[in-house]
Amino acid sequence: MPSAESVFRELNARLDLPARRRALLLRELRADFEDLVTTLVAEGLTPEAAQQKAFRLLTPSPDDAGALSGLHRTRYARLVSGYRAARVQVVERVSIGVMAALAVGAPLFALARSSGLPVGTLTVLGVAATFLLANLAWHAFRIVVRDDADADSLARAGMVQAALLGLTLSAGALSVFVDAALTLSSWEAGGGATTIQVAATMTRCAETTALTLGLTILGVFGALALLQWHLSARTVEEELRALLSPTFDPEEE
Amino acid sequence: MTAMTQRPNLSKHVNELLILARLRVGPAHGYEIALAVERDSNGAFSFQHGTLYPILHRLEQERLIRGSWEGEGRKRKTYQLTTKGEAYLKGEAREVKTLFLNLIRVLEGPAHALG
Repeated sequence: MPSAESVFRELNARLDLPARRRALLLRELRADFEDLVTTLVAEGLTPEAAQQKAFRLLTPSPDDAGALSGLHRTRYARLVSGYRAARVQVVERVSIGVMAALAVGAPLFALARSSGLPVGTLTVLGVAATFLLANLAWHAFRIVVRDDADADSLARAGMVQAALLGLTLSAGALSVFVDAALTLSSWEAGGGATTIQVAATMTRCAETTALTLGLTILGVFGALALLQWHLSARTVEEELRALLSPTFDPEEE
Repeated sequence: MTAMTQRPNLSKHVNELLILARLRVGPAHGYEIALAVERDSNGAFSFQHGTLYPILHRLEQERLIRGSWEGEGRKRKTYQLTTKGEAYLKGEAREVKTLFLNLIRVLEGPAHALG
């Protein structure tokens, strides 16, 4: 007779579902299995006979595991199930990248035009902010829509987010510094500046700083969200490991 | 033929009704439902190899039953019949009863019916 551990491991492998959904199913099945064995032993069956009966009554066959997977698949997974997974992922990534580029590019372009700031000055800030937003949006999409983000990938995403946050902040500060330095040197060469020119420069620097700070706040919240998601995913993975371990204790938290 | 036309998967439908009927008695865990159905039917009906869970979860998605996590320490899932499930069970039980009465009438034949 196979052990409960091996049966549940096999079932876990058969469930074509994200970890969180698999953990919920296995939590129910494993607790029911252990409780049924305890009940049958209390009624006089030997532990082996009780376990055999519990296997027969409760552990899903490959067909039933398939039916369970079908029932618990996300709506989005059902929607894209007719397409190749690799192709779907390319479309998802490109769409999110384009949306992030538009979300960052539009205000930057508007700033460059209204302030007379050369677009090139803001390019580094724009690229860093686009990747920052795209990284966050991609993982939010995996959590909320696909429901398949794992703890390791979220930890990596958090580190990438922190690096991009640093890059965005540096790029914003550098933009302001370069803009101010170039303007000052042109004033020196031209023999001074009018009050209007000084005010326009200060406004431009303030706008770039505000945009950088806005992106930084978004980046910080994003990093915190990724940390929270990472911790939740790790809890689920730990629960799955406990459910599939040979020393599973149904009373343990 | 009529039964096949009306109920393309009769055994699955009967399994649904067995679960709902058990939950009419009161809330229960999945294993309690499996055990009760087997015992109450003297072994005539039994959920073999986890056929129970896909049906339970489908009934839950259709809101005929409600599942909730309970307990200290490791959580257990308990199911209970909803008002919608109760109404569904009542209607379906009537239909199944009519279906089986008709089936018995056919199996016993016209001679028996006349006699």
